[in-house]
Amino acid sequence: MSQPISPMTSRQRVLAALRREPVDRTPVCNPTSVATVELMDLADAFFPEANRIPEKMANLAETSYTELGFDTIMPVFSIIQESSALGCKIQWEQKDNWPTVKMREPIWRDVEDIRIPPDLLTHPDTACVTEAIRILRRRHGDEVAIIGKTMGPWSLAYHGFGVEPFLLMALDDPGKTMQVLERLKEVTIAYGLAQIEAGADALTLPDHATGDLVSADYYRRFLKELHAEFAARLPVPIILHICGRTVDRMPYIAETGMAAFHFDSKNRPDESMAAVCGHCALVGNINNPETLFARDPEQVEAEVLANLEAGIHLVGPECAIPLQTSIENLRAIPRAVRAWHSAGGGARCHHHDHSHNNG
Amino acid sequence: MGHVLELGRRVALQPMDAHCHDITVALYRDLAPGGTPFYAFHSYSCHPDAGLRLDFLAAAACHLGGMVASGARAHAVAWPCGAAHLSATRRLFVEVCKLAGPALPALRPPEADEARSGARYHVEGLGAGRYRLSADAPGDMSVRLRTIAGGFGKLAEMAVDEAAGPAVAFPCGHDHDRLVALLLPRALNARAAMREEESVAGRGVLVAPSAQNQPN
Ligand SMILES: [Zn+2]
Ligand SMILES: [Zn+2]
Repeated sequence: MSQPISPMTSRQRVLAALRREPVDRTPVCNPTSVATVELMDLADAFFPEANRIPEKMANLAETSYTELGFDTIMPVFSIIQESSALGCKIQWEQKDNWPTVKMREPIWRDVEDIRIPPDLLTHPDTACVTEAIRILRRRHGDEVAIIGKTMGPWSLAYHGFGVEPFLLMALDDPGKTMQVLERLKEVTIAYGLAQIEAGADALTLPDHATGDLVSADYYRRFLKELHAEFAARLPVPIILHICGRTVDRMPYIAETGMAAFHFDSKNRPDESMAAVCGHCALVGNINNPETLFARDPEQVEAEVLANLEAGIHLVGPECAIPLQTSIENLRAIPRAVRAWHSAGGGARCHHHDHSHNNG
Repeated sequence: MGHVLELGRRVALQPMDAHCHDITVALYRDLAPGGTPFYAFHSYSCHPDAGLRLDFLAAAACHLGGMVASGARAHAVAWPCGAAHLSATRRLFVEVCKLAGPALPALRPPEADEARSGARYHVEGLGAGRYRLSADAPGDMSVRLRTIAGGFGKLAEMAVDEAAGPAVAFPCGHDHDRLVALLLPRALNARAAMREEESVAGRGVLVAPSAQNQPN
């Protein structure tokens, strides 16, 4: 039988769920961006400035907590901050679009080309994030979980080499690929540590070893150990993020020591819970393109329920939401979580969780 | 900084209004106390010009589409028949957002020319929300007219009566002359009009680096 849990702050709730400990209710978590164009207007903080000016970044990021009712604030909207510091060419875009790395202009051809610049952590585009985390920590104290984000070496290699050249290398020359990942992992670690020092409670670690391109066996041989090293060297809960169909490698991910895996709606909640077998928490997996972006709150609520019924530890969108997503669809997520728990769903949730921990 | 409001269901969005400092303008659908649907133009922008822009967009929806101001909320408009006409309203939103303002444009005549065929098309009101389509052009235009009628069906959820000319009809049974005149040039190429709406909506969807194949 589960004890009634006394009310928690958002931060306590998120950190407990990441440790797979009992919670007063399932936390609503965004390991990736929930910025929208309407929230940009509301916060008077717009892309691209909100990716480059700490105050703007903090103002836009905190709307997840103050306006949407999520339990987390995640200020690293883009996936290109450290790639900019590494020297990649960035297309910064405008209010209604994401900044991207110009991957058709790769900066590396070989392992030796990879140099970690001395200003990696003081470059304006990386320092923006650490400064925004400091601002948010000052503003919100211990009330809300602040999540940082540091990109994994596989994603960084895409940015530096270009997707096709790096994938060809990965197929042709696994030895060289490992050398690349070994070099780049120090970027992941250094940037992660800087955000922890600035006050991040947890870190999202996207590493786009996506289902269609990288097999489960490839993950086990080339990435699993590396990911275990991140979990060991970064002293906060790490939320690994990989898009796409990943259920085949979830058992390996669960063995890395990562606190949580942020999973895509291409994987069903119940099969994903079975795949990680109680060895890591799951965060997800409300569908972005079809549900959050294109449908109504009722469909969002239905997906939230599927996650809660499966015992998913933290509920939220599957990936960075489209910038045109409606506010009412996002607010439907915490509303559905609260409604489920007040209808008695929480007791079932704890029971489910324990059976997994013990089983 | 403002706060999120309960505005009903968002049904259309202009993420960057080129005619007003790139503010985001949304159209929300809600119900008035009597249960009648209304639509409200809304922006969370605190730009000092935002209010005037919303005034203009609501006025343009009335002028060009034949909607009427609704007292339910600021910048709210409704159809005089009391129906929702959701697709038509979304289309009207796209059209008014294209206008620079502040002057309202001239009303569209109930006819449109097609450069490609040299044809001129007409819509003629038959009363009770029905409109007959016809063409000034040599040769048999019946297939083309049926396609255009289908375009009205897609853009404004109108029923198509192929036998009658063809004719198209609003399910509410009320006339919407200004709306029909506004839609006619779009109905000539409904697919392009709908693609236009989709391409605006498709911006800002993050693509994983491994899935980016367009040059950038
Ligand atoms: Zn993703
Ligand atoms: Zn009507």
